[in-house]
Amino acid sequence: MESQRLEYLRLTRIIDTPLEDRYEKYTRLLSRVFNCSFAAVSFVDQEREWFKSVRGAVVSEIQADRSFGKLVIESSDDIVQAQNSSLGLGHVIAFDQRPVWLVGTPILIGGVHRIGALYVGLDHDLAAREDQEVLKDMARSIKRELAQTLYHHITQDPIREAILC
Amino acid sequence: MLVAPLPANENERLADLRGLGILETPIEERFDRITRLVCRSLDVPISAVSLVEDDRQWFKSIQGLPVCETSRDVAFCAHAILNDEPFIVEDALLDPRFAENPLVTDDPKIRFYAGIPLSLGNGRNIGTLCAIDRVARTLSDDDIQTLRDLADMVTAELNTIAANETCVKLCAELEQAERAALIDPLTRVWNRRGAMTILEREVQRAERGQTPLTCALVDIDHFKRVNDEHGHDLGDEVLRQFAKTALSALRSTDILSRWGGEEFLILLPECSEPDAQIVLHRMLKKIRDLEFEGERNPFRITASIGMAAFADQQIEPIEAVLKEADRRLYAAKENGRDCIIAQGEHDAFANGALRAG
Repeated sequence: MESQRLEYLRLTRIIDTPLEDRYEKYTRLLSRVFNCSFAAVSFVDQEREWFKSVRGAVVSEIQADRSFGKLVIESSDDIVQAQNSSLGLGHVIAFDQRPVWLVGTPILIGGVHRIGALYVGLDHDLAAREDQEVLKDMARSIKRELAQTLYHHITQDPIREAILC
Repeated sequence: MLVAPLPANENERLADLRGLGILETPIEERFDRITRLVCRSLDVPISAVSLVEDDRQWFKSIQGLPVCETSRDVAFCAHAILNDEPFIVEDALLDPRFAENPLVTDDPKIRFYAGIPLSLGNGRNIGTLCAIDRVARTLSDDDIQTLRDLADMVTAELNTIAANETCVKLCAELEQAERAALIDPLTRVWNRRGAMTILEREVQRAERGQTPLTCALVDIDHFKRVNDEHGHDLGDEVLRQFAKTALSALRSTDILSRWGGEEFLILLPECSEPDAQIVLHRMLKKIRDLEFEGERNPFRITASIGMAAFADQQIEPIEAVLKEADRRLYAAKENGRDCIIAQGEHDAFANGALRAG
């Protein structure tokens, strides 16, 4: 399962790519919708959580152990919520802007493989179902961004379909 | 009222739009979630992906209004596509172009409109992503950026082929009018004839690829009661919401169709029965969570499902599998509703084992 996940992640060729506005817009939208200063789109391989887009912190990657992204991909829940205090983001967010809660949803490909996370930092947890749906909707749209790139470098239909379903 | 002039590149623009093969296709979750986000992030009651054809605007996705098209003459979007910049009408009553527009003077009583032109990257605008309100409003630069970002998401979807190969091919093969004949006008998902066409092709594909194919017949529980107690308009709204909600829970490769009345057929290609159960349970939960404003009191709905699989080794005749799904749907109803009956369980039910539910 983990090797399949890593293979899918590798196929997306997303990690270590330059800043792209089409991913920036998700963190912009999130900070707008949830009125929060911290929002991130990240992908998690064996060792690290790598940020494709991040707002409210200056960081490009962190060690995956104890990172929130890792927590999201290891969970089986659609919405993962955790207190931020012990999650390794402490040193990358300015102290006075440190959110109390991190709330995220997985970026899923191939139906079951959690390759990354979309999340926000809040001063409360996210209980309302509509709010959780917004987060999930955006994560599904991110898959479409991944798809746009995939069409250029994956030519075998079955693999593309497996990744996109 | 001022009818918008035609853009200089009208012919090329229409060719782009028709080339997409998207007109008269069923509603799709990937567009619905963007219009939901527009409503949510700008706090507006109405949002649409509007595609402007020669004599009408057709909504690929719309929130807040139960229509799928209007004439082009009255369309705000027909004005919005004339330029590449956001088109904003803060108060339609104060704008001579719109003050007497029937969409302003009568229902839905539009007062505020903001539309971002959509193009396929060549500057020819085929439609808009728009936000609409019934009160006058202004938009901040931040609001406009948000709407632009969401419009980019629409463009990304327009440029990506939908994930179900069979549907994409079918839509590409058919002329617009032929597609329209395969779509249910109320819920805007495939109709029974459309479903059969797709099913035949999916069965062939499953046979070729030796992959599983599962189908599910879904029936809304006590639907007649909804119509009787709350009227047919609300009954129609229940069907529409059911379709949208089901789509949002299904995988993007799954096919939803209206089989007739309050019955829907779902096809889950490359999906074994256990996997299909996971998807369908997720869907039933979302259906259960829906709330409707009734005549006197709010109410909720549930649905029952009968599932059947096309075995990957030896594909059975379509009619036989559908009949099996129908039998299990009946069993699910007998079993207390709001549940799924799959292979084996029907027989267990027949022995009385599941009656407890």
